[in-house]
Formats: sequence, structure tokens, C-alpha cells
Amino acid sequence: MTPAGASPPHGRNPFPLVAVEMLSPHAPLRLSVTTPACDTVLDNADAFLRSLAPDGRAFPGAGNVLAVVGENGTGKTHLAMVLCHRLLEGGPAVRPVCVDRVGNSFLEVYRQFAGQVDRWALSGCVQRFYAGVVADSLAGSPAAADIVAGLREGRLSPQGVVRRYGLMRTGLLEELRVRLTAATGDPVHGTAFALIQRPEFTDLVWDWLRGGPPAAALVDRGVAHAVDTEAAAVEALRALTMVFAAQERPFALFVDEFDGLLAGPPESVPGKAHALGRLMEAYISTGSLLVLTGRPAAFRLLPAQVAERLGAVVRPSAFTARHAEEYLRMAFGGLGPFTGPGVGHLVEMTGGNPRWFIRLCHRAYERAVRRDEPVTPAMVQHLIGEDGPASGGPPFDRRREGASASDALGDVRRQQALISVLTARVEELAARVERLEGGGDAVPPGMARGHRRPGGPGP
Amino acid sequence: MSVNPFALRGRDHPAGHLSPFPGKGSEESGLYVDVGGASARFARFTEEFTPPDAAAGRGRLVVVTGDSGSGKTSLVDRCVDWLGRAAAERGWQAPAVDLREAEAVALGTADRVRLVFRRLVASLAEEGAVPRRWVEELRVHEDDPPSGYRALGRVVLEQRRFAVVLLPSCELPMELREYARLATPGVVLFLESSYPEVEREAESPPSEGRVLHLRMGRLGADDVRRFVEQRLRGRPPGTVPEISDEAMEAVVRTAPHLATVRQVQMLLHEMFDRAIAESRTTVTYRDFLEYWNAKDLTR
Repeated sequence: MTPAGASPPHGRNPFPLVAVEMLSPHAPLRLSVTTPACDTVLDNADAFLRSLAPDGRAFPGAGNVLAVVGENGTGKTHLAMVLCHRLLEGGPAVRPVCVDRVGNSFLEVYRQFAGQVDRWALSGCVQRFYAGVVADSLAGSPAAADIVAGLREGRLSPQGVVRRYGLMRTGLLEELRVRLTAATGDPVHGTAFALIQRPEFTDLVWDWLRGGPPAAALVDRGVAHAVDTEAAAVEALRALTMVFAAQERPFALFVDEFDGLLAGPPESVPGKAHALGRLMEAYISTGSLLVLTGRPAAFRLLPAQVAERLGAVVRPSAFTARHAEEYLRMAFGGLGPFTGPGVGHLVEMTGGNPRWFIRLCHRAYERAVRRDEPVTPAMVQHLIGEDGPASGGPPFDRRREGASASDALGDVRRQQALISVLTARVEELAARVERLEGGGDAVPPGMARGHRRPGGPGP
Repeated sequence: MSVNPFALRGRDHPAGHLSPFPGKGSEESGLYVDVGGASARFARFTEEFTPPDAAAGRGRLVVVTGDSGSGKTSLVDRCVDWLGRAAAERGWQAPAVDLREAEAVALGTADRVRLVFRRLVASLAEEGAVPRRWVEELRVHEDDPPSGYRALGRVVLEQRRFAVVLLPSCELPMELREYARLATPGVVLFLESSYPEVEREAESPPSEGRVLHLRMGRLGADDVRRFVEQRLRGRPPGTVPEISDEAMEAVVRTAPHLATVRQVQMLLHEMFDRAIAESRTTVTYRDFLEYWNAKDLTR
């Protein structure tokens, strides 16, 4: 039977059973529909791109911290992906870095972050500082005006100029250290970054930045400790952010599920919130972008002086019947085996929660193809009855974002919510397995990208 | 017909240090110009090391600081040359072991000091400068430089000698402090540094009596003028191009930016080279400007 006049689809089920998205600038953007939340993150992305100078440099103080706040399955990660891809579409002006599953450790944030920092980009960044130092040393000499301009425009190599004119290398390197210390606000990183200019130290500094113990030659120069504490990790994150923003493309750091960073005994939360505040401050002051996704409860833990640094708070929009139909049209060019009333019932039963909606679509599609029958309200009801509440998941609370889904829904729904929490755990594990196996998402060819205005809560 | 008065004979590049002293490169003696306070520093050294056997007998660390290219190495060579001759006059020997070119490896200070001591022992063995049994004794201490330098001092003093060691350049105050400790009786160490922190440490070292700090200054306009005039003085007419007043003024005015003798040497060498290549008899302001044309220095 052919519902809604469309041909029955063939091939893979277009709906992922495990609708969990991975946050990465390298992953394709999943099928996405335009929702108000989508528009908001895209507006924020565009505003950030506009805040940059034409050459991509960030302006101090023009940075932003964006919070994407929602319960599980509401599409936080998808919104972050939409934002990330919008930045990438904006050209090479921004350097997106995504970290996830950071647990309760800034060290893990740093480990993942440092793993994505390009060694040559950091060297190039320090090189531009050095070019500035050499240019300034010659700036008072009219005869050297072309050289000064060449250094500032990146046409001339500072090392070449130093060799060619026998300039006082030691003094210049010392000035480089002073400037990098000022730029990072940290003498240890100022010293380490300056040493990158010396080939015999480059590997030592890099190993240290990657978390290794400092070599004796670094210890003697003041780089005495490994980045192996929470405080050291935050300082290292700040230093790298600041040095790149000063001379290179600024970072856009995405921390998915940042909730864990504030987890722990109550007495530990203020210290962790303060550390997060310092990280936010570095991103704002350097004109960089920090995006935090997390559940409402985590954001409520932030002290006022930290929370007030959030430049924008985006709450994922629940799927409406219109969004759901738009989503299906992207999948099939029409509604496929889904009927209009069936779609409406799917939305109603899932409360507009994208993850649950897509999961139920997966099951409905399976059944529709297997039995050659349309997806009607009756079929949806049957599926829910067949599999129990877990197949539907908790409803999306449209009235009060951040409140527990079970607050207003009675005992049955509370049980559903409890089961859904357990199911979410299972899904997380399944998603991990899926990634480890390198399995792709069940999104058909042509659906992954290509929408001029991507949006809407995917899961 | 013309000779570049700023060329360094036998060298590819005009940026190397001069060693115009009888013990080393006496053919360069006509090229050395006493600028940047070198004379005063040298006088201070000879005063401190007179008589040389008494000074060396106590053990000394001579620290020479100043910008890269300011003439530190030339001053060290001059001091070592004088020390050797002054010692000989009193029946002593002061052969120098030059480790300045030792590879600048990124090691911790303790490892660097150990490595330098090993190289010192290897050099002594290679040059046959000390009897074989001494070398064997020193090798025992290769991992313990304090014992090693003490042993070295002891064995050389027995032979009416001093051990004069020219160390690799130093960039850390802690390394300076370490060598101040190692300058034991019979051992004279020379250490160069262009690092401000080392200079500050050398001004008030912990082993004050054992450390002599000589600081090379930056060139002023008068130094630059004297450098040029002295290099041109005494050249038979027609053998070197003249330098125009305008070009000379330009060179002098650049002094705040070209503050070391190496920089001035490189500038003038190229200006004269250009004039000679074009068979001109005068070095002009255009030669000065051309020096600053850096089209070939792209990344």
C-alpha cells in the first residue's frame, strides 16, 4: 500500500534507531529542519563571524559564550552541530574544536582540545609574534621601512631577517617571551611558546603541551610541572585560546554535555564553576567562541557571576507536526509511508522530543515496509502498546524548559520517564558501540547535508 | 683593483668573530677595532689576572656578557691569548681547551654540565695535552663534574699548569652558578652569555670572589665612526673605494638599530662589495639603501 500517494521506499531505514549525534567539525550534519532554536543558533553563528576582522582576526572583548540547554534527546548536540557547520561554511576564519564525554574533568577537556590543536598552526602563531618583535626592533630606522612592512604582512621570515642583518637574536627572543607572557597572562606558557621558535626545543614543548612531563631543559627554564591538574588544564586551555586569538584564527570550542564538569560533592562545585568562569572569561576577552551544551540542572549550578557571562541561552524547540512533516519530506520527498494523521500522532505521543520521534519513526517505517501498510495513528498506537512506554519515551515539556518531564504527568508518565532514563543509558552505550564499529547513521544518501539553511532539532 | 676593507680573509661570511691575537689568527690583527668598551674590559681582566699564577691558582670563572655580535668571543680570545703569554713569562703553562662550538643540546643544566665535562676530558685525551694516566683519572669522575674539575685542577697545578676551558655559551643563571662552583684551584673557566638574566646573575654571583664579570657594551655613533675610519686608515690610495659623507652619515645614524660590531661589519662589507663589483670608486648612499632591500628574505 502506498500512503500519501508516495512510492514505497526501498533500501535502508532512513531513521536511526539510536538517534544520538556526534559533535565534530568533521562529521556530516544530519538531516535538519528549521525551528526557532535553529534560527537562534544560526543568528549567533553569523553574529560571531561578523565580529571578526576581514582577515579573520578576533577583536578583544568581542567573544561569546553560548549555552544550549535542554534535556536528553531534545537536540542540543544537533544544534551545536548546526552552529559548528555554519562557522565552517563561513570559511577558514574560525578554528572549531569539539570535545565531548569530558566527564568531570577539565583535564579531559584539555586532553581532547590539545589533541586537535595543529602543531604547525601553533608554530605559525608564535612566528607571527616573533615577526612583530623583529619588526618593532627595526621600526625606528627609515631605511628598514620595507622590511618592517614585510614582516608585519607576513611576507618576510623573521629568522631570515635576523640572520641577514645579524640582529641581536637573544634579546629578540627574550622580548618574544615577554610578549607571549603578556598575551597568555601566564609566564609558564609565555616561556614555553617562545621556546617553540628554537628547533632544539620544539619537540620538548610539544610533548609537554600534549600532557607529558616537562623535560629537564624546560624545568630549568621555568616550565616545571606537567599539565596534570584541573587548575593547570584550565590555564593551558586559556593560554592556547589567547595565543591563537591574538595572532591566528580564534577558536570556537564546543563542549558537549559539559554537565560533568560541575559534578562532584557540593563543596567542590564553586571551585569548578570558578574554573569554568575563567575559561569563559578567556573566550570572551579574546574574541573567541565557547559553546556549552548541557541539561538545565547543570546550568542552574552556575553561580551568578559565572552565569552572567553566558551571552546567549538557546533552548531546543520541540518538534511540531509541521516540523515532523518537513523532516519526512526531506527523507522521502513526500511523507513516504507516513500519513498526516499518523505523523500528528507520532508527535503527540513523543511530546515533540526529536530523539523519541525519530526512534518511533524507525519502528513505524520498519513495520510499514514489512507489512506494506501506511503509518497511521492506529499503527503508532499499536507500536507503543507492543513495546511499552520505552518506545515512546518521555514527552517534551513545552511549558517549562528544564523541568523534569515527569513533573506534571502523573504516575504512569513518571514510570515512563524512569524507564526512559535507563533507556537513554542503553542508547548511549549503543551509540558508543556504533562509533567504535565505525557504523554510519541510518541516514540515506543525500539526506545528510546540503540544506542551505540547516536547522531544527535533530537528536 | 679594490679590496674590501671589511672582508674577513678566508671566510665565506663577514659575520664571524675576529681573533686577531698571536695565539690564534694573527693575520686578522689589522682588522680588530677596539669598540664597545673592549679595551676597558680587557684592562680589567689583565688587572685581575696579574700575576696569572696567583689568580688561576685560586680558580676563576670569567663571565663575558653582551648582545649577540657585540664582541664577546673576540674579548675571550684576547684574554686567553694574554693569559697564555703572561703565564709563560712566569714559567707556567695555560693551554686552552675550546668547547664553545659544542652542540647546543636541549638538556637540563646538570646534564649539560656533565656533557661538557665529558667533552673536556675527550678533548684533553685527543690533543694529548695531558698524560694518559691523568685522562684515566679524570674519566673516573665523568659523571661527577665537581670531583672531576677538582681532580683536573690538582693534576695540572702539579705540573705548573692551569686548565683554561672555553665553555659553550650559557643562557641560564643556574648554569652560571654551577660553573662558579666548579672553578676550583687550577681551573680557569670562560663563559659567554647574551642573556640578561645571566648578566644580572653575573653582577652578584654567589661565589663572588671567584667570578669576574666583563660586560660588552653597545656601539654608539662614535664607535661606528671609529670602526669605519680605522678599517680605512692606512690603505694606499686607489686600493679601496671611498665612502661618501652621505653614506657615512647614514651608517652612523643607524647606530641605535645596528648596535653591535657584527651588524656594522655586515653592513659595511656589503656596501663596499657592491661598489667594488660595479667598479666604482665611491660607496654611496644608494649602497646603504640597497643593503636594506630584503626581497630575497621571503618565507
